[in-house]
Amino acid sequence: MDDYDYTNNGYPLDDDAADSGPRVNIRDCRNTTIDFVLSHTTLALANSIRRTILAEIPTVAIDLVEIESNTSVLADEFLAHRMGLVPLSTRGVEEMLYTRDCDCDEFCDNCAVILRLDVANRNLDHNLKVFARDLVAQRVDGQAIHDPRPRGNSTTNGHNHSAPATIEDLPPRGVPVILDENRQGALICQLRKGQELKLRCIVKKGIAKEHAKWAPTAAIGFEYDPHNKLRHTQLWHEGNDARAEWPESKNAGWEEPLPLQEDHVLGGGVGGVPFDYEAEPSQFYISLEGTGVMPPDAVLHSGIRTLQLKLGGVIQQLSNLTDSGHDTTAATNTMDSPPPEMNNGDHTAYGGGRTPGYGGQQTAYGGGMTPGYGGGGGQGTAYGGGGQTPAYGAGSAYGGGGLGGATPYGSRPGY
Amino acid sequence: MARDQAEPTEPKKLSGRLPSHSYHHSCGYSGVLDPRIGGNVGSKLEVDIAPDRYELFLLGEGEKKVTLEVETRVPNAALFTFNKEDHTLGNLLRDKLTRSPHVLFAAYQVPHPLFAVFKLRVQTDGEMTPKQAVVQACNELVKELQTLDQEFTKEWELKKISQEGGQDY
Ligand SMILES: [Zn+2]
Repeated sequence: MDDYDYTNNGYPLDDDAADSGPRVNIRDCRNTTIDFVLSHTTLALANSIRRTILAEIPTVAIDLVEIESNTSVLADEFLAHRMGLVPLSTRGVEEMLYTRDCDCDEFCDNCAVILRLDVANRNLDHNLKVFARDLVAQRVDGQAIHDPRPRGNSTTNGHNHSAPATIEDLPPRGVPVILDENRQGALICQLRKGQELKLRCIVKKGIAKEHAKWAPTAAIGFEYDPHNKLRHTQLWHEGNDARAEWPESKNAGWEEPLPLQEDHVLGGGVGGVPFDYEAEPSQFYISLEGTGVMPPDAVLHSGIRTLQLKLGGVIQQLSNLTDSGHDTTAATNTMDSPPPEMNNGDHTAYGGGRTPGYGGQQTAYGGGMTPGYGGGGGQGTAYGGGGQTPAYGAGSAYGGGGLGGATPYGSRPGY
Repeated sequence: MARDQAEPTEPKKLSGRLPSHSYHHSCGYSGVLDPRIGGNVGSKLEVDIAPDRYELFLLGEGEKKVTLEVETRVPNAALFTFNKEDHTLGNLLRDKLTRSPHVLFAAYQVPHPLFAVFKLRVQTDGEMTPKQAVVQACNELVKELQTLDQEFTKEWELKKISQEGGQDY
């Protein structure tokens, strides 16, 4: 009890370690899950990573369903919704475009994959079950998509759940991910004798902020300060024995042990120990449960990268503003504007900052937000790198149809 | 042949699709006029139907990711408005800024939960401008995330080796 560090509610005050950046300790990893301890970082950063992984990682999912024939008991809309939730491989999603950023008229191989389903129960007396494995992947022109994986060496064999999947284990982009031992995938519907189901699905790239079907994770566990030393929460209890009602978290063993009189239910500052109001959490217990559409480590890398691109976009936009808030690019009307300067003086080749035909305004998702930050060039940014941004057309929500015209920024004089 | 959307989500390209009925029923007007959010929100208000989900993260035409207004009543202070962003970025920047020795004040708010906008107010000691402080915070965060990415890759490789070593082939 003597060597317990009370100055920070028991958390080590180690500035050198904090300066060296975040630390990771992987406790467990499996086929689709990973459990790790993130330390020497802030609550804000850890939580922003969590939120980014939940809502903003680009993946693929069925977005449109053309129903040719449906005599099953399920309504068309019902089926369409179920199709949307089928997990599909995100392999190579970085090279894929969002349809809104693509040059094509409707959809093409750069921004879509076709999945066809054609099943019928002609003469079985029992119900015929339709599974995700029955979906046949095609290019837009109808050509079959070849699966390059060696047979029996993929996650679809269902027998290798202990080791984490790698990107090579995944089927080609847009193809259903099948993880169960019977290699069937999700059950889509059942067909009685004489019923048939024939449809064509269009798979598109998207993020979970738009719809949860694009989420790469099923759940993310996030815990810190299991002893509640910081009193960020109050653990309500009914009886007198609070400890019995609030058993210790399994993560409590990864913390410094509590001094005898301190109570993890009441939180820090009990038993004569002064409460430290300035203490901050620095260790986070994260358990990430993927859906199998990408390997668990890829989920984390993609989340980090998405967050970096978000910050890069802010740096880029702020570099176009003066300290008083005037837009330095607003006055010029050339299409080939010089690349904006970073604060550190580095010139970065921001791709296609401007889109012709937009009256000198920057595109919402100009190509390649931050090539300076490792990895992908123009494409594969969080908001698509295509540079070309065919607007949503007249009559769209953003279009000039009398609605979107008067944004405060567009009409302000002098800006 | 019926054509259904798996979910009504994507921004619509008109070709090959029926125009959504929702456009006809929307009642939009500029956010500046909306007293509930105190103006300065570059987004239209949909009154009778839920807005399209992509409006949470796609900038409107002519809309900027971030604008700033200098605070005239206090020295070295500015109010940033981030469009199509939420707590993910707001709290992250706020936290980073409050750790800078040159920042006297940093706080953010989301004026209205229906609008994907947050406002960040920053006051500095004059050694650097609020804009410089925000850019520096962003740069530091990008670097920190890069370190985390490398650290994670390192640990992941180590874990994979140790797992393979433990198995009998
Ligand atoms: Zn396309």
